[in-house]
Amino acid sequence: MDEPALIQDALEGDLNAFNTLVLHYQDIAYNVAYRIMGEPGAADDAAQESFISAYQKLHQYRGGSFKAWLLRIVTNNCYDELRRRQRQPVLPLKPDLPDGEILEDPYWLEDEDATPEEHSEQAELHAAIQKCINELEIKFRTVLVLVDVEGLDYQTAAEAAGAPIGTVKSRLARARERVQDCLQGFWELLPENFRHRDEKMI
Amino acid sequence: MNHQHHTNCQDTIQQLNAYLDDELDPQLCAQLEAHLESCTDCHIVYNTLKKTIQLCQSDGEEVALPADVRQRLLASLGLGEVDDTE
Repeated sequence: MDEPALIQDALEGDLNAFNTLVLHYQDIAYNVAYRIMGEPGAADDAAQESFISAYQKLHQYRGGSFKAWLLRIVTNNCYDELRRRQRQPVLPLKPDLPDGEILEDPYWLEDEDATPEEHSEQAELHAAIQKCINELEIKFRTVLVLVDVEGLDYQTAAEAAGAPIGTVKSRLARARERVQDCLQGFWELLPENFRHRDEKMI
Repeated sequence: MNHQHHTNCQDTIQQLNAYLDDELDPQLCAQLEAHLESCTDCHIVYNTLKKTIQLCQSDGEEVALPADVRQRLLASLGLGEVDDTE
């Protein structure tokens, strides 16, 4: 994919060129939104709004990593939506399903009272990790999602988060520390070589 | 634990994240690795942090943009149905 040429074509009004960029980045944009927002419905809206916003703001793109520029728009959209929800909390509605039908979507199935016997250990560990990530403050969650979940390097993550690289490093360290502490609450699910809480002497 | 050892532990802990992310200067990497080999406490912290990162990374299974969302997006951009199989 000749990204600079596609961006130039898109700037000149070629929607198909922009569509190629959308297709290339749609999944990472959606995944970042999904992990930051913590639920799929909000991620759908954030991803869609982000691409529309990117198209409208394309003339503001000044070179550099297009991925980082796009993810900055995604994280900003997520921040705006989360702030809006804080001011005006919304209760998620459960899907309207016929009696007895089960929706196989972990988001709706998560049950804090579930016993270990009710899910496989792997599924429980996955849910525990997601819960611990979701409990992070947004600024910490964002850098952890960008670096650990999506695999961005510090520089790209800094551009995507709109923060200096030093800030990204310190937020990442703090986020990992908090996830580590949070995961100790799911002691029985953790791999054996992770259980070091009693040995941590420093 | 003497003062020098304590200082090395603090430096090591501060640098562990960058080290595990391959973002640490090579010379500092060598110093850190030498310290980890000789310090049991730091090695435990290293292992725990490494495992935490691996657990977070394992949570990163890619979720595809739902087809209906993509179609709505393309419709918003005036593109309608497109062939995205390329």
